[in-house]
Formats: sequence, structure tokens, C-alpha cells
Amino acid sequence: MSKRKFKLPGVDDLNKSQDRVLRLPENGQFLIVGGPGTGKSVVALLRAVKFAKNKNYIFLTFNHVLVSATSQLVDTRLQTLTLSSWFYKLQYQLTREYMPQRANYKPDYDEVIKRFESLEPQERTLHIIIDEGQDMPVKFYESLITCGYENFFIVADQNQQITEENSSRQELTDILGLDVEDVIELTENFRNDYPIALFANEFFTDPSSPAPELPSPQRELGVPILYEYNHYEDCVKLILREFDRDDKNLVGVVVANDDLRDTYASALETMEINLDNPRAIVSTYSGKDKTSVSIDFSEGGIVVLNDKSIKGLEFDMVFIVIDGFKIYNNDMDSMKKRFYVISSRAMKKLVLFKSRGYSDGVEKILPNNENILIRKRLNNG
Amino acid sequence: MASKNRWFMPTNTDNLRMIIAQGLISSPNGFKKYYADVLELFPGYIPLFRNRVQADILSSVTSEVEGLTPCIIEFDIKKIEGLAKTISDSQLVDVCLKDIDKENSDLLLLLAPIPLSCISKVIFKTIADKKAFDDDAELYSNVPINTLKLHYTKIDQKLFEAKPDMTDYLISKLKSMDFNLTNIIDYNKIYAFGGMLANMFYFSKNGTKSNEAFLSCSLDKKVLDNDDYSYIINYFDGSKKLDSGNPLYNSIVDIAVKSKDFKEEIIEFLESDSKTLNIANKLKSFEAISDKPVSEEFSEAKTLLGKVLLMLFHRENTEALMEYSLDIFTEEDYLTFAVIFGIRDKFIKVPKFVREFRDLQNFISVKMANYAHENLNSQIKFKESRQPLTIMNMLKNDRFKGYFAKELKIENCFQTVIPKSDYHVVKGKPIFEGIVMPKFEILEDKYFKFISTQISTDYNKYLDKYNRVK
Repeated sequence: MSKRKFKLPGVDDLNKSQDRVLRLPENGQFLIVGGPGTGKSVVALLRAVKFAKNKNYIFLTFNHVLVSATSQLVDTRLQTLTLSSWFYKLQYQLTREYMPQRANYKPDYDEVIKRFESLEPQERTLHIIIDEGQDMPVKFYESLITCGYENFFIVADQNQQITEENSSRQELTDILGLDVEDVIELTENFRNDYPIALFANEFFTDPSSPAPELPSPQRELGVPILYEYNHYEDCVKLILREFDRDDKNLVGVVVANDDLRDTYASALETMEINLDNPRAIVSTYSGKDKTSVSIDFSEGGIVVLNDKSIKGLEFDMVFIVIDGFKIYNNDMDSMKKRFYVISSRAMKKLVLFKSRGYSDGVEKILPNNENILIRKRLNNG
Repeated sequence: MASKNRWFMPTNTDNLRMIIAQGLISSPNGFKKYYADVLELFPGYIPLFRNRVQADILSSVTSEVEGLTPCIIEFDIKKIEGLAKTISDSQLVDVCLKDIDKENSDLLLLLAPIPLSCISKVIFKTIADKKAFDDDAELYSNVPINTLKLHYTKIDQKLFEAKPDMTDYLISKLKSMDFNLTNIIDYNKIYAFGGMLANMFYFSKNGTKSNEAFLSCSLDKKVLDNDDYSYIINYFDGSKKLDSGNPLYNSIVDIAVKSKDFKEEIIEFLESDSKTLNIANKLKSFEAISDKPVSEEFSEAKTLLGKVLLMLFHRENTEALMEYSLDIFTEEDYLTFAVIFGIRDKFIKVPKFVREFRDLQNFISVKMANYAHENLNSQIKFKESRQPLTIMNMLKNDRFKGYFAKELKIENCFQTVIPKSDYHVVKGKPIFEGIVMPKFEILEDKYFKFISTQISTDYNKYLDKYNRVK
């Protein structure tokens, strides 16, 4: 299987806003905001690589899958953890007490702040680099500032909040003590091809800010497709065939629940089919698994995940199985947010599958414009 | 004895990175991303200042945004021949570069572009700036420092401490001058030529045909064969009319040179003529979700042009092309792919590991600069930089052949020939009279089958070995 690596950007690939981020001084508080594909994670990763020599930094991301992907894709050995596990460890190291919790894995931040306030005041010079900073509540940051941390580099997008406890752009700006003009905005979409970005923008929900800029040039090739199928095996065959076109590609298959995850992962591994290249490595992970992430992001392959685990990742191609996604209490916005995150993970191709007769409502949020989403039947399904 | 003149051009480190990435010191219109500096004061020219840089000029190079770092590029003008200009009484006047030491001019204007090989060093204001530039270069895929000298000394630090004086009104003087040039450089074409040449060098490992094409093209921008790749390469040969080759290839190359979205523009072009409509449709279905294996698509392509277009749609860039091989491809196929990919992607996208091949970056930079000046009909020529030795040329040496075959475990791609000579057999061994040197010969077909599937990153190691054994 072909090796894949995080590709360092060319100097010409970065725009002047990203250059500005790379020129930021080592110490201080910085907030970088931008939509999906605007290179937020790239600048955060480059900053971590830059700091890697002096070791006085930590690169924090939201979930285990992203930690794993980040560590594998760069040549430099990074100090990286999930936001939550680092915070739990830190709290214990500083207080020698277990984390006070309001519920399982939900820290009682007010209590943590009280504990941190009682510590000896100390200057903490660690550089904290945070990807997906919008997914932690503002009290998380307050806790860290209370115990003396000063150097924050946070990248965030409030339109990609997938947690119940999160921070808005304004809250992050305020907690870091920044003026509005200090916040650096990244607006140019580097990741998605134009038709994918156009599709993802259909799910943009924030009424207070304009939708992200579409990448240029405008193109017609590669409009996302929604296939209606009779037999899921046809979808599996199509995914395998597409992967086979370039075995260096990382293909994401996004499903709504663990049953579908198992079904697709198993079929992708075992289906008999004639291919040009050796079979794809198929891997999968769920937040419910109590094991560490065993996905190899340094090689091409197919990764089957649910939408919570896909956050922050990017794939050459994404296939979304929409069966199983359900809109509860007519809350269209939550589902739109989920689809905004999922669809913007795709760089080159985006394909959706729905079974014939599926009617759980997600289709209501899908665009009807044929220039944005083509609808087809798979194998006359 | 008067001390030697030094010639400086101040800029900022962001532009310097871009200069290295693009392979030329160009006018602002040659930069894909440009921060205001001294170049925009002299449209079409590269200004060189003698022995000092005036304060207002120096401050202009970091004026665009906060946080830019100044640096000064020092040039070795002995590598440049011909006429430059200077300003006298607000007029541009010619000066002969070989007599420059006798002239009294503090400012020299050279028609852009200038190759990287003319940089003798880059001077930084502080040792921290120098280190930061060196460290940060590793964060980019196309800023190989290679042999570029990064320099800091206390003495040269004074260059950054110029105080405003009576002669410092240059900027306002310049704004009233007319630098209008009649010939504008098509930088896309220059960088496409550099990308093509770099790719041809890399793929020259594949065999005699690829090697000869590179050598011929690097000599005079053309190849004499009548193969598909020659139609593409000869696009850059100014002595030929554009329509004298293959018109379809010329149009495709033209789009590859100029386009921002190759796929979209090539489809539009092919759809505009009923004769090529079916090719457009084929490419569109190739780009869409397809149930057909890629190898089948390539096998079904009836012409090399068909394969070339498929490959341009199939692989995103040169690095992805290098990693791709199919049994059905011939040496000519790979060469043609390499040529057109280099043109589409330009020099700036040549993989870093290739640009780090010894002597290659400066060699191609000079080729691009001389090509640009030929197009301008300027009276400037740059001293040729040492041509990097190709693997195939190294393989003309028998001792290197032996090493290479063993190192890559490809002894089966070679055969040994004993010169015709009398011998007798003792205990089953043939004994020759005198010294008889065996010859190693490459079995090109076998060698090609192997080497075309390999990514050759070890060029510098092979060159070191060659230099030891030759």
C-alpha cells in the first residue's frame, strides 16, 4: 500500500493571512478563526512543528482519531493529546485529586477553578496549541488561565461546534483578552474542490456571519452525487472501485451508527472483486471502543467512522451513508451542522448513499439543485 | 588599492522564500505572492545598490505589513554578462557590466529575471533572523536552501543601520521616472520551461531515450525526434512557429502553461470542436464515478495523446506521477507524461527532493533566466551553471555500473561482455593472456521495467559514489 504523508505546504500555497499566522511571536494569546478547509489545522500543525525543537509546547485536538492522524502524518514527533485527557491529567498533577465531575467525563469547571485558585501562583510558560478550540467550554480556558497559563494559540470555527458545551468566537476573544481586530480570520478554502464547498455551504447555519468563501476557480467537474441503492453491496463495490483508482488515497466512509459501521467495514474487507491494486486496508474506530485508535493514517486506505469521530480529519474522498441519520424534534440546525462537518472533510470527491425507501428526514436538508447535488440510481436501484 | 565593490538588493524574508521557491529573482509580476519591496519601485528591473543600501529603500521592504523581516541579497555580478542600466540625470543609461568597476554608479538596474546562481549570499540583520529563516525553510515543501549562503556578521549588520542622508530621496525621484518596458515576460512560460526541464532530468533515469531528450533539451530547448514528447518540448523553441508541430498538442500545452484549472479548461477546449468532443466526454466520464479499473482505461486509449490526457486527469501533480506506474507504459510514455506535468505544474511544484539533487536547482534557474532574456531579446546573459550529471551518464562508467547494480540489487539488468581475446582453460576456468577488462552493459528493457517503478531519491548518494569511482 502506498505511503502518504502530511504534505508541507509550498510557500505559494499559503495566503497572506496564513503567512501572518506563521509570523506570530512565540509568546502571547492568539485566536485564529475560519471555516472548514481554510488551513486552520495546517497553521496549528506548522506552529507545533516549529516548537517541536524546544519541546515546551502541547498540541491538543478534540478527539482520539485526530490525535492519531496528526501524530502519524508528520515526520516530527509531536507532543499531542486530546483536550480532555490532557486536562484530566493536568488537574490531577496540580491538585493530586480526581477531577470533580458533574456527570461522566463532564468536569465541574467551577470546582476546578476553585482548586486552581488555591494553588501557589506560578508562571507557566508552556505553549498550548489547540485545534478545534470551539469544542471546549469557555470555563475550560478560564481554568487554565487561573492556574497561570499565558501562551495560547487557538484555532476555531464556531460553525463546527459538535459538543453541547462549547465556546463562541466572541467568548474565545474575550477570555483571551483580545480585541476584535486581533483575531485572525482565514477565509480562503484550500481543501475542498469548488463543488464540494458549494455543497457544504448548504448546511451553513450561523446567522451572525457570512458563509465561508468558495474556493476558486469555479468548476463544474466533480459535483457531489446522491445514489439511491437497492443493495448496500453495490455501494461497497463502488467504494472499493473508487479507492482502487488511486491506492494512495484516504477514503472516509461516514455512517450514522455502530451497526452500520460494522456492516460496511466488514463488507469492504471481505467482498470479492477484481482490482488493479492490492486490497485496501480497512480500518474503523468508535468513541465507544475502549481501545486505542488503530487506524493507519500514514497509508492509503478506507476508514469507516461515525460522524463524531470524523471531525478535524480530511479525506481524498468521502462517502456518506445517510440511512440511520435521524432528525429529532424537527431540529434541522443540529443535523445541518453535522452534515456541514462531514461533507467538508472531502477534498476531491463526495458521494452520498441512501437506500430505496429511506425516509427519516435527512433528505429534507439536502439541496434540490442538480448543480449542487446530482441524484442517481445505483445499478438501476 | 580600492576595496572590491559589493552589490546588494534588500527585500524581506517572505519574498526571499518565494524567490527560492520560484527559482528566479523576478519582477513583482513573476511572484505568485508578493510583499511590497524595492522591486516594485523599478518595474521590470532588479535594482542592485553598490556597497550600501539607503535608509528609505531599506525601510520600504518591510512596509507592507507588520512583522516582516528585512534581509539583503548580495550578488556576484561576475556571473552576468552584457549591458545593464543606471540612472543618470533621471534618465536610464546603459552601462557595460564588465566595466562596472570603472563606473561611478551606485545603482545598477538589471533587466529581470536573475537566476539564483548569481546570489553570493543572503545577509541577515541578526543571528536570530538568520536562524529563524533557516529553521522556517523546513516548514515549506519548496524552499530548499541547498547551497545558498545564509550570512550574518557584525560588520554586515551595519548595512541595516543606514541613516537617512542627502542621497535618500531616491524613492520620490523614482516615482517620477518612466520604466515602461516594451517586452513583458510571460513568467508562466518561463516557469513551465523550468518545471519541464526538472522533470526531464528526473525521468532521464529511465533509459537512453529519456536521457538524450533531457541533454538535447537542456542544450537548445528542442529535441529532433518526431515523437509526441518532441511536439511538446518544441513549444519552447522560439525558432519554430507554434503551428508547425502538432496543433492539438500545441493547444494542450498552451492551456497547461496558462490555465488556473487545467481540467476544466481542457474540457472546455475539447468540447469546442466536434472533432474532439468524444475525447472531452471520455475525460468527463473518467473524472466521474467509474466502474472501470484505471488500467483498463489506459489500455483502451488508442493514442499516446489519449494516455497523456488521462494521466493529467488521473494524477494531481508530478510527485503523484512519479509514484505511479503501469506495466503497459513505455519509456516514451513516461517521458511524455513527465514533460507535460512539468509544464502544467511549473518549477515551483517540482518535488523538494528533486530540487535537492546537487547542482540541479541552480542549473535550471540559469536555464530559465537565459530563456527569459532570449524572449526579451535583452543584452544580458548569465554564466551557465554546472550541469548535473544524469544517472544514465554515470552508468557509462563500468565501476559505477557495478556499484549501482549491486546497490539496487539489479544485477539481472546488466550483462558482462569479455572482449574477444585468446584464452585457455585451466581447471574449468578461462584464462586470458594479458589484462582483459570486462565490459558491463545495460539490458535496457529489463532495466527500464525496474527503474520506471522506482522513486529515486538517492541521487546525491549515487553522485558521491560516482565521483569516488570514476
